[in-house]
Amino acid sequence: MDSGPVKDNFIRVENLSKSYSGVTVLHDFSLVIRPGEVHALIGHNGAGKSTVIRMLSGSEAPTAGEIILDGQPVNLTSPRIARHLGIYTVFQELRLIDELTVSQNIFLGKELSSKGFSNKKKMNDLALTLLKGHNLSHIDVTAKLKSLSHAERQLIEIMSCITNDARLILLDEPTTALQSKEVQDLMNTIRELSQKNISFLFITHKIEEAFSVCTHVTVLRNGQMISSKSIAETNQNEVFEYVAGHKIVEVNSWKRNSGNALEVVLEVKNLKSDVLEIDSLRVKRGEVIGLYGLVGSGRTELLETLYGARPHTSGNMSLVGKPYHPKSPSVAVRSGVFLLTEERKINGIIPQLNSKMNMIIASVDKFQKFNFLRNHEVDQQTMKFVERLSIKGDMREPIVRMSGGNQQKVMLARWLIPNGQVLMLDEPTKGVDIGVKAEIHAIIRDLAKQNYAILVVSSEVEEIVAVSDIVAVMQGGRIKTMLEDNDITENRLLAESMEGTQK
Amino acid sequence: MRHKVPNELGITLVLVVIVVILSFLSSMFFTTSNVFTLLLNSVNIGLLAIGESFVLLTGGIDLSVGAVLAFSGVLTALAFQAHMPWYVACITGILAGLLTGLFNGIVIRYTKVPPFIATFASMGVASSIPLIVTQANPIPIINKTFEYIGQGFIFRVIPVPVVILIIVAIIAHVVLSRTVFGIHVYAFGGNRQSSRLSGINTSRIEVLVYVISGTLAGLSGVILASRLASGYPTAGAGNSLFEGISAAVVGGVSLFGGIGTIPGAFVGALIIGTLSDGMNIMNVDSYWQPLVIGAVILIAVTIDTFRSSKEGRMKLRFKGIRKGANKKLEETPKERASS
Repeated sequence: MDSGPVKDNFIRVENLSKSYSGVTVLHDFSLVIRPGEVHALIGHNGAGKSTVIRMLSGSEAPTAGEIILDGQPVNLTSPRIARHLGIYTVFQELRLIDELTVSQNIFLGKELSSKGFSNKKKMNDLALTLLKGHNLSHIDVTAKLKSLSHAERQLIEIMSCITNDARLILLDEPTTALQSKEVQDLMNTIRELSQKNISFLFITHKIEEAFSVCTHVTVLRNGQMISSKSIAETNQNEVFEYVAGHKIVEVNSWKRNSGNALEVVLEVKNLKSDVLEIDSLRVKRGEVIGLYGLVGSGRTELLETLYGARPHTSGNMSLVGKPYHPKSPSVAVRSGVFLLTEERKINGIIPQLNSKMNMIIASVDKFQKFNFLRNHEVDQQTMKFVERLSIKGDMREPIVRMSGGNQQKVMLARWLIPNGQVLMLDEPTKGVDIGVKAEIHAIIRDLAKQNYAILVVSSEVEEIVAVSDIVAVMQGGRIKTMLEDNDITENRLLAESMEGTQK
Repeated sequence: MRHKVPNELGITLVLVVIVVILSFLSSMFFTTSNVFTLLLNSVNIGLLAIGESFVLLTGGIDLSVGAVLAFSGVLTALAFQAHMPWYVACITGILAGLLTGLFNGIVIRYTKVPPFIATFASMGVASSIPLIVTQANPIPIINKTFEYIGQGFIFRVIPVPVVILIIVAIIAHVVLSRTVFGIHVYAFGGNRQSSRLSGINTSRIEVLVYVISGTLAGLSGVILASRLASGYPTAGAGNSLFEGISAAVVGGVSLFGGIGTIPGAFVGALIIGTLSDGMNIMNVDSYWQPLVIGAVILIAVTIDTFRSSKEGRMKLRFKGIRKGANKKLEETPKERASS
């Protein structure tokens, strides 16, 4: 039987190509995924990872090439068909419904029923057994989904795929919104399921993560498959070079500022709100303060309070010596305090507007005469930033057409056009690829040189270490400690932020 | 520079097709006098649609505009009864609309009552007051100057209300497309959170769009009162609201905010106006007319959705706009029909 070896191969992707109106975004992509294998697909934004996902999940048809399942070419013309064949996709934004219970979500679309009525009890029981079988017994199956953390919801979605006899689960950057402990849980679940012959295709930016769980790593760059090897045949450095196309060396040529001679721009004393209790914080001109802490430590809340987007109960704030009362974001913006928000899609971009307008929306007053927009000046100024930040994409198109990294640069430019004093950046490199990340880090250092006072919040310890002059470690709404100079190391930050949390 | 086909092209073609069909069906249709009658009948729809567009662009809705027609018309008539000069009477009518809008805006902004409910309530109030005041009897207006607003002609052929509509449309278009306020309206409708966090004074925007909508409804009421030479307490009780909103929507203004233009709404108003005019000429039973208009709205909106999501559907699925019950699904950017 010559179908022997073929049958062993769970899913074969052969010479898949995709082009949009003549532009090829994926060339000749081939991959063999056997049962129980965990594949990582790594690459920049725009490398073609999402294209692969789209085609495997049945959302888009390939221009050329085949997908072969158990030796049979299949035509994945819709997500429903893909699911029917056992190929499930877990997107970053989950498919679940907040207002339904955990078990209802697990059985979404295939509710158990008897005589036309949904059989709640049976679903709850089955869901409970399922969760118990995967070390998730702490989750209450009758609780509404909205009471769960993002990480738990993600696991629930994966569980829901399993109940459907998933054979291959595609995970689209599953760890972006997770804490390191949660990442571990996810990895454990993946490992355990892979032993039950469920395969995974794990799309990620993070090479380390890929190596911690995957059996194979495939690298895409500009739509080309650069390498596809098993973990044993490669190593992280090699993959990193493949991804980048060249070696990226984080320029750490700058020296951390620990000078006291700098002018204090923003001074915060005894700031209190429902979640914050900040005794004192001083942000100086030309200095980058990194705010590090676990989720829930109040990092984002602190920025939002300083920006007037969140109320505070008491506190003294001053901006360059003058009292500063941020009642609303518009007050903050007028005073020159800017915030780059974390959730680009939710409260950053204005999707329908073109990138140009998105860039100038916070500073339109600069471009008006008698309330009329001076398009010529808008063009000039936006072009300047397109060049300075090397933004790629048509600025006249709605911003959603741009890749995440370029959107982020537009968001950054939004706050560089007006003249500001304090720049607050909440997760400035969230969802951008490795190359852009390094660029943004360089921009942040450059802005410090141009005398901005900068606050950076990041969940990534490397990022904090890479850009900060001073690090404020936050815990439970307070600043636990301030670190300078040689104390700013990844280990120290992790230790400080974790310490004392388990009580 | 890539050449771009304007978004309104599709809907304009629909208008052209309707006009051609009607010209074939009735020799009466394509005559100068009828074209102006048609335009004249589109004035109220047009003004309401333009006002409504501002509101729809922010993701709101104004249900009170139809009632404001009667409210404003009756107040204008009452001003004449009180022997006010014609311009004071006109301002009274317009102010009635403006204040209704201001009331809507303030209630919506500061009590956070959903626009649908808030304007539904003020629709009730605004339609009752004229009936109470007049006991449902029309108040006649006899004033030569005032008559000119609704019944006069410029160059002997162009009805004055048509000129008013065109001027209002041009101003509205310029405001939306060229001014800071216009950009803020689109931004606010596109993403409220982002707008607020960009330092935009969102309260001002949200209140102002209802003021604009109310004011234009007030103006429309004044013109109607002049055409009818009386303040009708039941004016606009029928289809005005329905037609105004449908005109905007047929013209490509999204019910979910952030998408749409005044030229689009204007063409939408012409489509609705042409249809009702055409049906009148052909003596279509008036019971049938809303049915036909309803069907056309459905077709136009379906075509537009199709056109706009050809490319957008992918994005919708993948940029992950799945936010449960959130209405974001409909909020995908309108893709440009590009060649």
